Amino acid sequence: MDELIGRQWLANQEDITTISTCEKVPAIQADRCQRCGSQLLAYLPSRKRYCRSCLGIGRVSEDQVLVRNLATAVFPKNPAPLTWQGKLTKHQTKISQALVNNYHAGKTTLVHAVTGAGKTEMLFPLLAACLADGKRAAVAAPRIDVINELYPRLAEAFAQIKVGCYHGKREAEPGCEQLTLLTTHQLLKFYRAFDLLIIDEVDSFPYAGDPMLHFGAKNAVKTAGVTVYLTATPTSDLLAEINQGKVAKLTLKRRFHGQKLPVPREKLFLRPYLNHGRLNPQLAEHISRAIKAGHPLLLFVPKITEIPAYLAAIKADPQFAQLKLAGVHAADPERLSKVEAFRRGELEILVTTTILERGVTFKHVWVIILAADDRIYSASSLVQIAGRVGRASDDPTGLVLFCYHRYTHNIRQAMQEIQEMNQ
Amino acid sequence: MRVCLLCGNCFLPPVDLVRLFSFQAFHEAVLCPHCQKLFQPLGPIRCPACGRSQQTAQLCRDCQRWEQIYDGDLLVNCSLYHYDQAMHDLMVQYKRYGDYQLAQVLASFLPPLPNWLLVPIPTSPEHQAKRGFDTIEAIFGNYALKPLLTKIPGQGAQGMRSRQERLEAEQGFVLADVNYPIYNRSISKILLLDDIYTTGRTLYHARDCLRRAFPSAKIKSFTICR
Ligand SMILES: [Zn+2]
Ligand SMILES: [Zn+2]
Ligand SMILES: [Zn+2]
Repeated sequence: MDELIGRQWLANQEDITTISTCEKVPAIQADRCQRCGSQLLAYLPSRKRYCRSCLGIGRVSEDQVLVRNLATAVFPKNPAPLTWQGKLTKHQTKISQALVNNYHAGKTTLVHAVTGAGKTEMLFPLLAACLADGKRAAVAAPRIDVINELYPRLAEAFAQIKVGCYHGKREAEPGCEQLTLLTTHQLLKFYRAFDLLIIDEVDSFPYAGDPMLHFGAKNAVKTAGVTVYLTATPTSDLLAEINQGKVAKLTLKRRFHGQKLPVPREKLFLRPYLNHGRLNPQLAEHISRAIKAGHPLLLFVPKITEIPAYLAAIKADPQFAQLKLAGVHAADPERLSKVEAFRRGELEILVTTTILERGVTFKHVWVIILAADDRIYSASSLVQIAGRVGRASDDPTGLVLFCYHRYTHNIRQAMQEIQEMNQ
Repeated sequence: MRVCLLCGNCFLPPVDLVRLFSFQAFHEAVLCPHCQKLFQPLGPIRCPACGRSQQTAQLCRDCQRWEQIYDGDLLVNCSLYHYDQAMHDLMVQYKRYGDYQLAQVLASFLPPLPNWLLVPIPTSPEHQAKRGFDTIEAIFGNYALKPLLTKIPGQGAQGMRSRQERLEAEQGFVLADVNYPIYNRSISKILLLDDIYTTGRTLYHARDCLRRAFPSAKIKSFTICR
């Protein structure tokens, strides 16, 4: 049963598991789901209640118990678990050293780092400090793509350490690995498991604003464990905890190449972006400038349903008749191949929804956000989208254009954040 | 104020005068206007047999197949909504994850049903035991249902099979208790009830099964989505 150490799972009340290190608690207690903390309960025909919030990982109902394996996992001490040979920049080293110190001091920490700062490498010394001690660590993120991208990098950086990877689209038997990568949803399956828990992209959907995932994260870490949050735009709940002194804050204002963030240009449009299927001339002018300068262009639109109209309007404009373009959205079966084609330079323009707002890097890309005033763009989305530009050290600048009809609070907040980080 | 069963937001139920003064079964609004709009009713031009919405009012390809297999004796089906992404997500949440409360959402989609003998398509006893409810009976719970069919145990869920596997599936139903008093010759109209019409295989099997007990009855079907 060692593979279940630090985990919690559902069982019937009659369950006769007799592992001495396991405790059993009623799955629903005091009108609250004990796995996710939610009070969104509903009745089954049997008059037993079930939890509607965490259904996706198996339904919790009143006639069940949560079995929690509270044993402590023991791993051998290992003076040099980090096999990565790379070097950190001066700025990265400073943050990374502070993270190690805060870990030893038992301090929960938020790292506020600009997009393109090279966060992952900064975490290596921190993870090494934890693993060297024979302790257990986890890296969680809200989105599966991020976990899939991190997994090979961490497995390579810590070649002698057993690394586990868990998310909803991956079949994996539960194991007790010293280093675990998982989505924030999967954290609900752990209880007092980790000495160190790092949560990446805390500003991103679905973690941001979901109390269930916050509850799961708090439960997954040991009582004396340490949590580290990473973000490019701190959420208000974390800022409040920083102000109360519960969380320490570290800020990294420079990208790994040492340059500032490109500051978005704001452009008020009085007329619609599309009029009877034709591009607004001012919009066409901006697109044309990007193309003439030889930059691939990401065009963000708020809704999937608008993509075909924009594609048609660009194609209908004689000056763009020769261009190769495509549209992409979350449910698009050709999503990966289109993104790859754009990356290889086979497409000049990619019209996209917010799915490409983070986690992707395209060399020399410029970005135009249409309807930056749409409700779909949070301040953190806008900062992330702007962060796609200027990531290479040989081309650290570029165009980010926020097009709007109505100046919104989110646009203002995104602009302020970028300017603050650039000071 | 009500709380939307899908998004959890509060909303004011719309006052619907047509409904207020009609004799239709009155459903309390359980979805906010935004969530209600996620679900697309089927268009006006449909396949005359299965009710699929399409460009022309001719028999669709599935039904042309059934026409051959059943020698022209097509099952006439009526559906209300497109089985699109939104409906698929709702069904996954309801059936796979067992969110029983969503039966109220699906029930709110129902029109008044005719005064026929209403026979629900049964779910497998294994799944019913695991979920703690019968997915079809929970949706149509406001009607007097006659559960005349039972599922032969041991067959997997439809949702787990490919389209081809579904079409080739064996008859999965048997008649429930044959001494049921309802088995009299006066029954002339039967309406089969299901959630989704995918290939029609399930509903045709159910009809085959009922035909043996009611050789002269007219049998049609109703599903929420197509
Ligand atoms: Zn729950
Ligand atoms: Zn709603
Ligand atoms: Zn048809």
